[in-house]
Amino acid sequence: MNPLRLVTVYLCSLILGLFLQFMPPPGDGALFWPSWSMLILAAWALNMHGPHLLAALVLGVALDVGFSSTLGEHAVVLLLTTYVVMRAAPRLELRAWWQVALLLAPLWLGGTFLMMVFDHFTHHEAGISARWLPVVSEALLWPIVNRIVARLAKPAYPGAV
Amino acid sequence: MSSLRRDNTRQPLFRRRTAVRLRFIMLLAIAALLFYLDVSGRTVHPVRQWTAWAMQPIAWVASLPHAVATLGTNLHGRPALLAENRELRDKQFVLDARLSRMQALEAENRRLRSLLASSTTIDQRMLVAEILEASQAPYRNQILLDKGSANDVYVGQAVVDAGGVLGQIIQVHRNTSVALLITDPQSGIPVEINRTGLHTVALGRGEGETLSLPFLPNTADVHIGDLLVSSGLGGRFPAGYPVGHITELRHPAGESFMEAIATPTAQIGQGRQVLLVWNGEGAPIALPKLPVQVAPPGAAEGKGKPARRPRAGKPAAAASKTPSTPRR
Repeated sequence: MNPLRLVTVYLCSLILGLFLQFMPPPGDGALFWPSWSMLILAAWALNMHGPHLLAALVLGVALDVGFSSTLGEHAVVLLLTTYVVMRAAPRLELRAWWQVALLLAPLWLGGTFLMMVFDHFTHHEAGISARWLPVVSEALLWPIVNRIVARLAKPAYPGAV
Repeated sequence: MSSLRRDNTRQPLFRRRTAVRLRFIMLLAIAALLFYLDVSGRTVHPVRQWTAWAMQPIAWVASLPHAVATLGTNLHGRPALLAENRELRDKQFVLDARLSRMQALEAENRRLRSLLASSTTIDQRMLVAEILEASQAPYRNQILLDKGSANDVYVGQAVVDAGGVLGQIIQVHRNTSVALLITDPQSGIPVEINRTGLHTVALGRGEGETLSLPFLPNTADVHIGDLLVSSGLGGRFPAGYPVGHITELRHPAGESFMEAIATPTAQIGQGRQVLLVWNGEGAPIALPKLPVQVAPPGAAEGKGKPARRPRAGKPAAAASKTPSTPRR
């Protein structure tokens, strides 16, 4: 895949992540709806060098505006989780997909905890289950998302990180 | 293979990591600054407004599945439409009769108010707005409307429907605005019990789309079925609009207060249109009294300079509360 096409695919995947995040299923399914932006960014950060941190900031601000939350909340969490994945990428790429999922789950839990701290700070507490349940689905969806992103990124960057 | 890769990239990797760390710290500082400015009430409205403008296509596409899912309910057969039309005509006759009586009462009320030298009026400027999107998050009760600052919509403006008070505007963008529904846990609306005139505050409960009236005296004259109307205290919501009906009274053992649960009269979660009401006291500018108007699509773009709006901040009716934060 040529670089221009890869950039297009990269941007499209991030926009798709935004779409998916703004389209939770009705009813209780919304409780399990994962943070697609976080998932997709983590997958790209693991498989390819790129402006992931800038993308995390832009996506975070977009999520804050879309969800009417305090500006910067999502941006901080996305920046932190993406940065950790970027730093851990050399070690994570050697592990099996299920091991990576298990290792990333605590990271997403940390992001969720940070979000709860922000909630408490801004007096916007939400239900506990609404915060923690998406981490389960994120860990379950990780292999699929990572596989798709890896296939998109691999041809241009055979020696990822 | 991987060891070779690491050997070949060790030195560049070190430099890159330093650059990445620096970039991370800078972007984190920007995000933290945005958070600080927003929490401390400083103006980050332009950032929000421009981001919302840029995200309009995404929000529109994201609302498509919901629109498609509800398409079936919007399509009716001709007999059903004829029957509905007949029913509506009958209802209109009844309402016309009531309206004529209301007009007489209004005239009488005006005369009495003029005698009392009161300035309160019944006529209010209204604008019909379309609901573009309803929050799907289970802990979030918000709707996105297709009217914004281009239509003089302002933060704190009351939103009503045919049944009664629906909520208030909490964010205004150029062509859209976000309304917090009265059932949101972060919402509070001053109400009075229509039968007795008892003043209290109805708080959103989030669960089951009901309202809570906490800390009512045990001796208060409140009955199941009582109608709650907006009291107009605080100047945010216009007075006299139906808010809900009392459906349950709870007397906690050992407490000197009771709690009443009410069901909103507004059709929350139903319908596609709402009314934006310009309250004389809460509106940012003096507006002429106009009848209900329906702005045609795209009229927003045709208007000139938006009217002066108050600084975006916390709604006065929920003074101690701010809108809750949906995520994921």
